Amino acid sequence: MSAAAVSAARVRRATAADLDALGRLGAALARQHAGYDARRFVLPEGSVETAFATYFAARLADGAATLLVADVGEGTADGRAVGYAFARLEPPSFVDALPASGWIHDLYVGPSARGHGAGAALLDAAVEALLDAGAPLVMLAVAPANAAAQRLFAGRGFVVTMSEMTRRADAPTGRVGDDVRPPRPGT
Amino acid sequence: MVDIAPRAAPAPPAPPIVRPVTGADVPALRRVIDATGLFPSALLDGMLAAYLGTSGREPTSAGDGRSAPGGLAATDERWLTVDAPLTDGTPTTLGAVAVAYAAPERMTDGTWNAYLLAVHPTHQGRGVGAALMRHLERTLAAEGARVLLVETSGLPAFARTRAFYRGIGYVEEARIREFYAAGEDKVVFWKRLEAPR
Repeated sequence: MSAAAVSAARVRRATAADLDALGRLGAALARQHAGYDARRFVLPEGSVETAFATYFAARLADGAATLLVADVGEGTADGRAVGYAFARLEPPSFVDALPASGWIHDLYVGPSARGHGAGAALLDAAVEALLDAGAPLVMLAVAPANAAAQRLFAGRGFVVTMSEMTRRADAPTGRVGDDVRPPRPGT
Repeated sequence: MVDIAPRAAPAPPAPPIVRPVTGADVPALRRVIDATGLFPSALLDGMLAAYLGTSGREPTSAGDGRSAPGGLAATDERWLTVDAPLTDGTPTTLGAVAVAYAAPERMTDGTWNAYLLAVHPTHQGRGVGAALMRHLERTLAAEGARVLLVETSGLPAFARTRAFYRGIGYVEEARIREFYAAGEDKVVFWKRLEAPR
């Protein structure tokens, strides 16, 4: 077990009883990313919470998926499922030159529950679950604006192997030598 | 003492969450042993006594089985389990559905033996046994262990078990004829533990 096992947070498998919390947490993570860039990170139509609860309900029955939740403050109702991790074994991809690998798709802890090691505990448990399942690689994606998450991942042995780049359809045409700057937030 | 799932052909296994056994797991582990019929589950308490300590309390460390302050028995044993949704109760209940037990071989430097691996029949075929073995291998390798052994029966009824170990990288190293009973050999499987780079 890793050092994070000695934290105030307890990680367990999610069950159907956690779906309301998973819907809220998933929606919060999605909104955080939409806040970075609403074109790149799109929110589902209708209730975001319902969409995520529905998605995760299906993941509970998905043989390749692992859904974890973290509890803090043992025994209190509002300390249950304060954060979650969604990981899954993904098939190889020829175009990405990627072998079959374990992906940590989501990792989120609610703002009021931070500082108890829940994020690190969830990350460690998700990595362990994927390695135990035989994943030769564990991968994840992190937004460039999310410095805290990058520090957490780097501290747990993750290194940058690829960077995603996006060009908007209405972006100014850039040629070599042009001074093309990223649009400022709000423009 | 091994009972292993038929290998799940199509669906990828749900990554189980492997964790150390605690005293609270003992009733569930008895049910696992009873369901597999490996040995009388009454023996489990005695097998777990050193690991759990004579007082029956849980290990106070993070579950690495090491001796901890507070009078717990010093033991290097590793007892691991996996939680899964229990189908025989409310669907939201998780419980221990498998057990693995390993201990260092005496008079060796870094050789361990996985003495017990059992998965409840209703949870077999989902990669639970493989996950327990991989977890054991990774955590032992990280501590400098070199070799992990598994012993199982040579009877035809255990052909699936032997295929399971070959499938996760074990090689048949030795066969002790007529070991368990007349006509029942012991087959020893061997795997080198790679230290993490």
